[in-house]
Amino acid sequence: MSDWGWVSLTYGVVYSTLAIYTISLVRRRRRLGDGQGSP
Amino acid sequence: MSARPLDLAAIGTLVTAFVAGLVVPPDAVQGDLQRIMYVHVPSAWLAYLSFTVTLVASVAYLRVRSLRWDRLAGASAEVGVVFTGLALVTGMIWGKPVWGVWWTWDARLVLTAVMFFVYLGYLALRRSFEDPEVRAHRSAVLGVVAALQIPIVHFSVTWWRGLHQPPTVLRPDNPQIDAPLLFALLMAVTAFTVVFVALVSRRAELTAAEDAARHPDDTDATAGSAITAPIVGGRTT
Repeated sequence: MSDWGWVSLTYGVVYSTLAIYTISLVRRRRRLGDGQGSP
Repeated sequence: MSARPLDLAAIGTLVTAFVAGLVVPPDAVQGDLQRIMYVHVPSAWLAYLSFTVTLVASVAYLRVRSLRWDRLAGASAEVGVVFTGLALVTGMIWGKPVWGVWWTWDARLVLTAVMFFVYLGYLALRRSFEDPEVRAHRSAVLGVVAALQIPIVHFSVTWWRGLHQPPTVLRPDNPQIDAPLLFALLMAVTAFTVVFVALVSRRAELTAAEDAARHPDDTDATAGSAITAPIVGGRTT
């Protein structure tokens, strides 16, 4: 694999993981209903 | 749930860091492969920061017994596990073309993996108690003890000789990195820190909502505040 291939793979892993984790937090919160509890 | 200013700031700094990491000149030795540093190093630093926040919040909980501190400790630990996992995976991807192997039994790598699994255990411990106050107390103790690993992981590259390079920026003498590359790295660290704050905020809020759903009659933020004096002879004592 080329250098840019390794770089693309790394960036893809990092940014997609952060996106998936963020979406999971938002969806779990939405499932519980807005307005319950406070941090 | 709509986007908040913090979320927009996280996305904005992340996009800026992404662009900066791709447009700065390549490294003289590693070429474009060195661009992996702009996500690997911030992930590792944010792992340290996350677990340090868990330590501080755990100590605060043990002192004031407020569940807000417990939620912050738990949220930060979970986000820290995500960043530690990213540091391990991006390190492996970087190691394959540079070192020729995905994994080697280097002190930094092994200790980082141990830290990852210890905090996974911390998260498992938090899920094993139904009562938020029991959960808060037991996980706070582990949150303090587990933090002993952070300096050991950080200084492992100077205490033991291994394949992993010693510190480049956080070293006693001047940082051994060119200004444009340092700028891109600091930009990435800033972006990841904003992302960390946004994620911890959302995760702590989710924990509060989960606690409220499980214990609808006990939504006080402070442990023990719901305990009232027993009624004796029709009067509270």
